[in-house]
Amino acid sequence: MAPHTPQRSARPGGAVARLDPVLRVSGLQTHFFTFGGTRVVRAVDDVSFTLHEGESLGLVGESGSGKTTTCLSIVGLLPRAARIVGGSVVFDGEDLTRKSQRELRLIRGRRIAMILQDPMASLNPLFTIFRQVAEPAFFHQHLRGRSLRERVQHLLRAVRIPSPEWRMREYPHQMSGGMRQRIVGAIALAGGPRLVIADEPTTNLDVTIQAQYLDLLKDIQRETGVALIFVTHNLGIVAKMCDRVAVMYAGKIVEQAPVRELFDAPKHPYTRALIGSVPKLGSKEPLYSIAGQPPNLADLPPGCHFHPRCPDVLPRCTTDEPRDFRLADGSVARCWLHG
Amino acid sequence: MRRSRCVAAALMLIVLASTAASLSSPAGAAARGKLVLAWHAGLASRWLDPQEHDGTATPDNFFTAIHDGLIKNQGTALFDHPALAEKFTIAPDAKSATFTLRKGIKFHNGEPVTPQDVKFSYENYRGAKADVFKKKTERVEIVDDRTIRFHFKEPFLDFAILFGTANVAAPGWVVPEKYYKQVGADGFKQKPVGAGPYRLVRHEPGVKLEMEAFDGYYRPVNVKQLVMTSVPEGATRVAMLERGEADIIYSVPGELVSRVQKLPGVTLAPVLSGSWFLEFPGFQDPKSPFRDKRVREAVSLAIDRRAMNQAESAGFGKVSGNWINNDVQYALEWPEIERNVERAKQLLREAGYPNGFDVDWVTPLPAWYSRGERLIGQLREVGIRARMQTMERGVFFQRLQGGIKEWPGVQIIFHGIRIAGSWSFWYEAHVKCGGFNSRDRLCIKELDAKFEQYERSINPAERKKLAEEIQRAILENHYLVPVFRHAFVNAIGPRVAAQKWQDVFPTITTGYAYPWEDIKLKEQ
Amino acid sequence: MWQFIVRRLLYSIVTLLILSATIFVIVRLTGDPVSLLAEAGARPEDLERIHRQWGLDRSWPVQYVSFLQNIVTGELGKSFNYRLPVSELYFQRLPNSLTLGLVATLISILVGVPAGIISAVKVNTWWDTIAKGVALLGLSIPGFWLGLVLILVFSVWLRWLPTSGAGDWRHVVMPSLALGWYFAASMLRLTRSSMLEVLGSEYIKLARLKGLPDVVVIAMHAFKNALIPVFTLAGVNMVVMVNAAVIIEVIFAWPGIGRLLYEGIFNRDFPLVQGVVVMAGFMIVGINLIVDILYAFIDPRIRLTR
Repeated sequence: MAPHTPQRSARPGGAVARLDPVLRVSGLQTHFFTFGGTRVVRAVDDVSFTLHEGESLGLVGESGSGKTTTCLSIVGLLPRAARIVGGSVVFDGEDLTRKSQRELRLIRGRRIAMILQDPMASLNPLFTIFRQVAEPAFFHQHLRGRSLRERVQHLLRAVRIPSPEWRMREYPHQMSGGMRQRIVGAIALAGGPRLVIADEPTTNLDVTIQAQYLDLLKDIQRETGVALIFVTHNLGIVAKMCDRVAVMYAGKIVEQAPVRELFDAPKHPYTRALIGSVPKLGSKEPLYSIAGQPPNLADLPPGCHFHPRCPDVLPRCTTDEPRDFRLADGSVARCWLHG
Repeated sequence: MRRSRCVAAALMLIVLASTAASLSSPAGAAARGKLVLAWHAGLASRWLDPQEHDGTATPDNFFTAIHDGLIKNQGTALFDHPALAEKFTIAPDAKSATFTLRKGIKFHNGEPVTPQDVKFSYENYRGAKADVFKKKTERVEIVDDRTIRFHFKEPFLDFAILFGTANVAAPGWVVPEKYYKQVGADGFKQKPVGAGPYRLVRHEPGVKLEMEAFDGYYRPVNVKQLVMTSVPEGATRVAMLERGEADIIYSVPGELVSRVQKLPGVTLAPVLSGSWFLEFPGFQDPKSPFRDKRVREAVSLAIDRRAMNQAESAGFGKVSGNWINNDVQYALEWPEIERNVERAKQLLREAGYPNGFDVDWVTPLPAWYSRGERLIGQLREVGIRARMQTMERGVFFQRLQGGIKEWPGVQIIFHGIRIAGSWSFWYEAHVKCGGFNSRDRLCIKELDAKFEQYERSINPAERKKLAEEIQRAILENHYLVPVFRHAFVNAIGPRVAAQKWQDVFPTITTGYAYPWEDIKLKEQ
Repeated sequence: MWQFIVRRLLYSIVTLLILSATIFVIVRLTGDPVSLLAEAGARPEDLERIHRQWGLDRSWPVQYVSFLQNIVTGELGKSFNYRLPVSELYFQRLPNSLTLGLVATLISILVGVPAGIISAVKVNTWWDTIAKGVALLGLSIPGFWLGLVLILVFSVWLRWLPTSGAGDWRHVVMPSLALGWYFAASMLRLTRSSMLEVLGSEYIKLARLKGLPDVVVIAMHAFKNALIPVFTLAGVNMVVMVNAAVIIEVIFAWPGIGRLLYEGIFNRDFPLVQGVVVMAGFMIVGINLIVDILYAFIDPRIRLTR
């Protein structure tokens, strides 16, 4: 579908082939400096993961756990107060943290694309659909005139927008939320990317539309072999969409595992608590919620950041920060319980 | 032989022609140059029509350029300078007045000025004091093609003053009957036609008047183009003077006087203007401290008039003893009152106020608040404590006309006024019971009775005596306390020919620079 | 679209009616104009006569009806002082005020808007600080002070420009600078905050994520959106500048409507004040309508919905 046809064949979600990863994030640290630098918020604190072609990684966690900041760090679009202070982001062999904004602009929208959360706000209300979908192709691939128009229609059809020739003349306010989010998806695909980051793309959609959208994403991934990072706080979506999952808490990845293994046998107490807090249909038990509050990222507790709320806390957890422990079933857990 | 005769004939013709030319147009031949006057306020079109004179001392600046009257105030003459009329007589019984028009006088549109126009102007007059003229006039008689006589129902001694003072009334200022009826009163105010030294060439309402010398005027007009432009901001007027954009400016702001004095070739013209005096409303009330003559005298002695003059008029004003200006008929000259703080305190002690007393309010004419503050400061030195009351101008006049009920308690009103014509207009307005400004606040019975006598009298000598008696009574009893006469400080630019400023401001009854035809520019 | 316009026009008529009644009552509350104008030496008979001449002896409702009639006939009443229909005076001065207002508006836009954009794009840097400083100066320096300083410097010292009055282009420079200065500052602030708000929006984020060059993001995506409130302000500012630039017009003796209004108020020239205020009301209504129509052109959300 895209001009940039991947050389390696796409594969269905499940087994992962051992090829060079599309994205390798190692020890990424992104800090926010506020109040003239006196207050440092460690939003992303030593995050590492790898993503292969055709693979989808779920990034799960509460609000403020660092999911979005991780994604913005990858594309280099951090707000003014934030800076990557350590680690690397290697995309197709190149370290993005070492690139200038000018170089990054050539990658954004073309080789890495992002889908944002709020479909009502993501599109410029003053421009037609055509204009907004055409822009990446216009600027990156320098398409013009008829080939540009055909490309836009092609993209709109790929995200299952009916009558694209008419639709593309319309304005965002004339479309429903679901349709707008598809258009955002079309924009993401316009440049023929290798990696798509979807930051909670269905959170603001109706439940009925959500399922359709997720199916669409899956189909596109299967067809194009694009790697997908799926940020969400909804475990149900993770179960449906992702090959692997990374659970974030207080700026760190506390557990990474293939999706099956994560749900069957969660290793980290936080993961267990998250899974346990999902309400079960038909159950009459009171809703379970995790005790305590997420920590203040500017003033983190010593030792394991989760220890104040952990039901299985050990004495060591209060003083030493745990490191990653690799386990037999392929999970990685950052917890002294497994050390 | 033939040639020299031709030359002689030609020379004769030239001499004859130029003589004829100079005889027929005394103004046109000599008029040259342009003079710009920067006027300090707004420019109401209704001021161009003397028929609707509003009685204030403002319209005369304008209509004296475009119109002319039978007799008028000019130079040191208070009202009787012969203008369109070459002579006039008042009958001994004061029941008629006869005017003889000059020969050959014309309106700007070429029509001659006739007694019929004079009659129309008089009978159609709707401005200030119109009711007085209407009430007292029996009829207007056209005696011949240059003579007109006014007949009155009873002796009308003030006729000439009212008739001839341009900043009081204007039924004697002649407008062309035919033209006035043709364009109507409103149209006349946009495009006035008169018999004055200048005719209006361009009129931007509220902004500018552009006038050109009328070559049919019976006197020579020196400046060809006269422009009066409205520039309300004082600093801007001074800038215009510095830049040479204006040749005469009115009302130099106090803080800029020293700057203007330093400008090369510029002459300050501090014309004496309004009289400032104190009134004690309701002083005859037994509860008022001012019922005691000694208290009033103490107030008068407490005032430092020289300091007031210095501070408020840069010393250009005049400290005189009378509250009535000396440029009106029968005004009494009175010696300056020296400040005497000790005597003032003594008088207060004698009157029973050893520690002074409190005055609720001192109210100066808005917005002259600085002099109010000065007065309060001076009074405090003798123990009289007061606060200043401020209000909007319109409210002030309304309160004045509302009478004593608008001025409760112990108050002092600090008036600033200029009235032209006769001393009696001052009395009528500010002392008489029921007067326009005095209303019921003073009502001094004996004086009002004498004033009635004055009004009824037909003997000028008797009138003068009564006038002086009344004024003396007011001053000796300190019913009103004069403060000073302030200066309306104008400035004359370098292009204007003037040995001293009085050359440009010769008319003592006004603060304006007329007669306009006499102003000269240096290149002439 | 037509429904929209008709409804707006009906609202405008109601607004103007309320405006006319309000100004009618307010000027009359300031007191009697006649006693203000006739100083001492006048008699009650003189006052009566003037009252009758100016129609002030009639009852208020009668005067109001007469005023409304005047508006409808387009005459707007007759000025006490000038004896001309107010409409004639107004339209005589309108070209001058329009000239001043337009040039000052242009100055305010050409200075304020780019400065506001730069300051928003480079927020919290030196540029921003300078721009905010300029805005502060503009909003706090009084117009009359600036006007007088300009006259002093450019007219008296340097002798480059004439001091006052209307005439050729040289006469327009200083008054429009003094007038536009304040409004430039308010334009700057509004543009800056509007741009900042837009720059923080999701669609700008997405535009950046598309890898578009910065220029395109700012000039095309952000600017058009940020302009919308700036437009309204420019429209209202212009009406104010045309009708009520009193201080500047007085200082520069500019023959405009602001000065006309000022003198009308000072002299209690009721018909004049009423007429000018009503005309200003008409102008605001008109400008608002034009601005709304312009919106419809820019913003498809307005154009295409009911």
